[in-house]
Amino acid sequence: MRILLVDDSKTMRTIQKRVLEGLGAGTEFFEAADGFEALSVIASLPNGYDLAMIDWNMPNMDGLTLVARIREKNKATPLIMCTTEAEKERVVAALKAGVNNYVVKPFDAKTLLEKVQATLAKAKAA
Amino acid sequence: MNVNLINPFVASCCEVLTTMAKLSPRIGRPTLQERVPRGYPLYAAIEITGATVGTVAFGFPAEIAAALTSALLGGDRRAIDADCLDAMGEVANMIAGSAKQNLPGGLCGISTPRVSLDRRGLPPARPPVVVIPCFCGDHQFDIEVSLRPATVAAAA
Repeated sequence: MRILLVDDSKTMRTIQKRVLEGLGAGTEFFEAADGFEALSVIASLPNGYDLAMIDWNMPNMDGLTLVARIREKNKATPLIMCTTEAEKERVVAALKAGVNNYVVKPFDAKTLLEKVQATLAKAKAA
Repeated sequence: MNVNLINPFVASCCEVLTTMAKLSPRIGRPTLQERVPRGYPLYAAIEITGATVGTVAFGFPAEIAAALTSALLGGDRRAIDADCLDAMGEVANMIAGSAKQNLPGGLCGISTPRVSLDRRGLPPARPPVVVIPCFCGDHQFDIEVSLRPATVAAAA
């Protein structure tokens, strides 16, 4: 399992990594602090990745723009927006841009892990 | 001071610390202080703009800052280091984001939180300050709220 974590907070990336280690041994993590860095990391992964967790508010390129850029070329890989932005309009905008699921911070570890597992299972079944 | 602008930050602080770090703060009795309170070694502050202006600051002793950092990042952290500052910034960011959902509509905007080892570099708090003591085990941290109508602040 190859997971891309995109968040400008190193702390948040570490929290997500600790939780998502629950996906099983052998889970690999790749990290980026903004949208531009994420696109660069994606370009460096010839075998792709299985899922990306994407923050909304980041410097240089925000998460919504990143989702749109990813979806220009890749419709299949599941993307989860993980953000403090909880307003309904934001959720709708993220879903329209192409995210598969939406997690509002703060989250508890169990909820995050379950949402990621459900998103992966749905993508696999599609 | 408008309690509807204060309560969302108190509730969000409890929610973030409980959900993310399994620390469940107990809220004490608020006091109104005519001077900016004594300093904690670590502050995270959110600036309020709009019809109401001022700051909501969270002052943490080293013990709680280290406990929070340990809970978020793992390990047994004791020092206020770069990891701790980053962790406290993310905690404040989540508090601000969560509080924003429950603030009265249109009354104010909130800034990206700033973290400082002392009050330098933070937006200045102006008395009077509502100090809300919060307790995690034997240790106390404070939520310090200094808000005024923008019209009053502009005339000062």
